[in-house]
Amino acid sequence: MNTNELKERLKILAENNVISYRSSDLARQAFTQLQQVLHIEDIQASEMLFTHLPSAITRIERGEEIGAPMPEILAEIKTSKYYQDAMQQTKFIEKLHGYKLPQEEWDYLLIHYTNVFQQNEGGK
Amino acid sequence: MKIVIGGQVDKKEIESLVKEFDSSIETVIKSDLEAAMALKTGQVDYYLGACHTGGGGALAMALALIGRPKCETVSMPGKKPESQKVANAVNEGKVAFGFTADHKEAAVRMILEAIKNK
Repeated sequence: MNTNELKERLKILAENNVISYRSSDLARQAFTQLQQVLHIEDIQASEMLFTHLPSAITRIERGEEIGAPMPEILAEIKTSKYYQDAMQQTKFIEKLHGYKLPQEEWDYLLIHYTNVFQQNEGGK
Repeated sequence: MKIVIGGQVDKKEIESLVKEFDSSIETVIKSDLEAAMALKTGQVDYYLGACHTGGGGALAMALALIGRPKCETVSMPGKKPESQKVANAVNEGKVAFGFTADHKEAAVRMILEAIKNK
């Protein structure tokens, strides 16, 4: 997905109140950050992360909770060589959000980020 | 009946589950955005999609393009699908269903049974 595709996706979701405009803006900043880290414009297989991310932030804003991810998945991503990269990006999200993320949302973001780093082989 | 498989993960597996239930059901796999558009424009009758949380990547685009009243989150992490709730959703006219990938077998079966019995 490139920047224009991301913008189109976020526009559809925000205009139809599926996500908040604040979360849309946060997702755009996070996408730019990830492009810089990976040194690529077009981030492969990133649609899931950048749909999940604004959905998660919107969920938090609306006071909605979510169950924890399966422990097996969390254990698996901890073995990834990109786990620390994913951790850095999730910390960046928390900084953008301005509040501590619920543990469940933190863990889902770690899973999604690790997956995207793997799909893009850590960038160039 | 034609079903589009959208969502974000396990699309081929979901298609296989639909075909196992009833091989006469037409299926097509698309991106979440294209799948939601196919439903909106009447090219398909139902939308199925999975992700890790059931309501994010699985259903977000369908929620945006066809509206919340037509969508149902069938399962979430730690919250298994329930056949009665699924049947109620189908009977209420909901046409887009999202679920978590780990619940796909039960979710697909319940949704298709509910549609069949509608």
